[in-house]
Amino acid sequence: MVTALTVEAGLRHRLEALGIKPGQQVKVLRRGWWSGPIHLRVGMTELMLRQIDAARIEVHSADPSRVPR
Amino acid sequence: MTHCLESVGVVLVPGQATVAVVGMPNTGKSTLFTQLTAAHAHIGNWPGLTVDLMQAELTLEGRSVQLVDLPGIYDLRGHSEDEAVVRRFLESTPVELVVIILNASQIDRQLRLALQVRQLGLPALVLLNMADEARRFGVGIDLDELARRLELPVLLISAKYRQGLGQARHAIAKALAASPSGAGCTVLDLEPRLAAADCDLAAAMGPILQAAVTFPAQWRDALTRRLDRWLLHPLLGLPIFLLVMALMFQAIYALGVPMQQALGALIDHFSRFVLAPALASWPPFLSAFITDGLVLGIGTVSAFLPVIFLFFLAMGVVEDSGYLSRAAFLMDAFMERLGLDGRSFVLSLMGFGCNVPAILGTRVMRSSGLRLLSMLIIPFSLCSARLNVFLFMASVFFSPRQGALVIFGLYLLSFGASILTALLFKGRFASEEPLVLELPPYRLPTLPQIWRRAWAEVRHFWFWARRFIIFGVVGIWLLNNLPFGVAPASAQSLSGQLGELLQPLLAPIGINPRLTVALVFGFIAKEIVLGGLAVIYGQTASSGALGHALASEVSWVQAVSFMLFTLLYTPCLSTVAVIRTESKRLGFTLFSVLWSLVLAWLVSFCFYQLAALVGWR
Repeated sequence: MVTALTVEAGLRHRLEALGIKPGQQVKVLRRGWWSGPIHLRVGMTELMLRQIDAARIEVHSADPSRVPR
Repeated sequence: MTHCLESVGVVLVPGQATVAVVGMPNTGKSTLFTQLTAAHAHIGNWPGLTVDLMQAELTLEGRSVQLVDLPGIYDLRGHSEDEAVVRRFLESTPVELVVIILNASQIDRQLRLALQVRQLGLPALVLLNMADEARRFGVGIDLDELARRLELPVLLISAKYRQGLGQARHAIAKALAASPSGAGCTVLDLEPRLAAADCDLAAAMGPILQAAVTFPAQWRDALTRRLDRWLLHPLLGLPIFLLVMALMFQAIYALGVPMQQALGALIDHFSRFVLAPALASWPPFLSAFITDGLVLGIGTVSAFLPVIFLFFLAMGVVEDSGYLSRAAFLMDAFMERLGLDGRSFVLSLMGFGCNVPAILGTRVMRSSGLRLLSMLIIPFSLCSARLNVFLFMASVFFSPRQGALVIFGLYLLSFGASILTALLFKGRFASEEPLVLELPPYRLPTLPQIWRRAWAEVRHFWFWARRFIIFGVVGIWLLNNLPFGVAPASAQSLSGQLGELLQPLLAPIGINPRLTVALVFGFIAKEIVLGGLAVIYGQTASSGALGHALASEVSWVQAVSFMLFTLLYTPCLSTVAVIRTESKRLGFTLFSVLWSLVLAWLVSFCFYQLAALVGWR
């Protein structure tokens, strides 16, 4: 579950248009090799996001056994 | 009937209704536009590829309509260049109707754009595209309820499978009938208006979706999930991708080269047995110019059209299937270390068809450092025009098996040159642009779609090439035969003198005076190189005569050096021109040209001199 977006306005608009907004469930499907991008699913959309940008999305883990980053 | 608009500003015809097509990237917007207008718009899975505005005139139920395809955008308030283009368009051009295209299966987030358009108070119509995908993923939409809540007409269609297009046309006509001609409106205060209503947006979306849309309890796209497990595998993903690419190129040559040889032989026969007798009564200078100049040059290049067609067919499959976006995912980590991103890689791959659209594609990038660095590496992509030179030279100097290796090596070098360039200059073109890209579900490309696209690309190549070849061939012909009275292409002719003049520079890399002339004209376009060689040596390429003439004068080491130089130096004048207009910097453009010349010379020099040391030549 996304709790906050601490990113600049341009990226925030893009993320919201792609469905990433506070209160929305996101699921991490995989991470790329060599600390590559993250493959996410948000609602009916799948997207990739660099780890450095993903780090600015604050989430609250639905599954307590997995630590969000 | 389409024209590209450089800047926003459309020619308005009195009595004609302007209809703007708005939608997010990856919704099949361009496909729909093509279907509605029968115009050959370029379509792509690559978000934001269609950057020039396409427009088409059509008649819908007696009303003359001008349909304008606006760039795919995520958000009317977004910060990208495309989003600014759409805003400027809506503020400056009176439109009678906005057609909003949404991907039906992703209506959960795309509805936002429809609400934004509604906030602007423009007359609008919603087309939910990709009905087939919505069905596949179990997304159910109550159209009447949605239309009632949006207060806009809503239709479900599938542009790819041509379903619901008739109704869509009718709905557009009906919506237009409600507004008298000339009633189009522009939007005033677009940004403040959207900003003021922004917080209502999220609040409005939830209830509408809840009332009109049912989502599957579980994600149903088992196919995409299963494919991604392998194709995006942390260790196997990249090797699989490279293998697929290698197989693709292999298949193109296996099919294309015999076709090219057959076509070449056919053109040769036509020139020798039909054209030559028909021109027998003409003055020898003129008939020689036509048969040995124009037909030779054009024939040599047109024989390669089947290979190019196959190339674009294969690229179309890779792009429309959704695999190209995966390539961006797989390569991003690597490209990040080069100061680039996954999109630069995808654009470089597109550059293997033609560099010009690939450079135009850098418009999706916002950071100027990232854009410039991408523009610097794209010209090293081995484009189809260079490929036909290499295919020919490889077949002359090497056995088929070795030839395939040489071509493969040139592809590797093409990547190598890009990587080296990025590493050397990434400090000067720094960027911190975030990367967020959609990974669309895997899709089955339809044959008509990729066929039409490959056909359009080949036609484009052909018109392009023909223009340059005629110019180049006339130029080379004149250089070879002037001043009057010299033996064609001898040391006394202009071309011989030019070749001799550049010898101090080019002899160390094994380029003889005749090859020099081909290279000089290759600066204009690589399409000329082969036709030019045919004219210089006065032999056709397809009959094998040009090959013999070349092989008798040039060693294979020289040939490889020539190929290396051809691969790396400036691809063509059009690429230079498009770098100039896109970068808006003369200094950068000159730097790009100069760097490619220096790199080409250095690589050829190292190879040629090393080969000499080893004693190969």
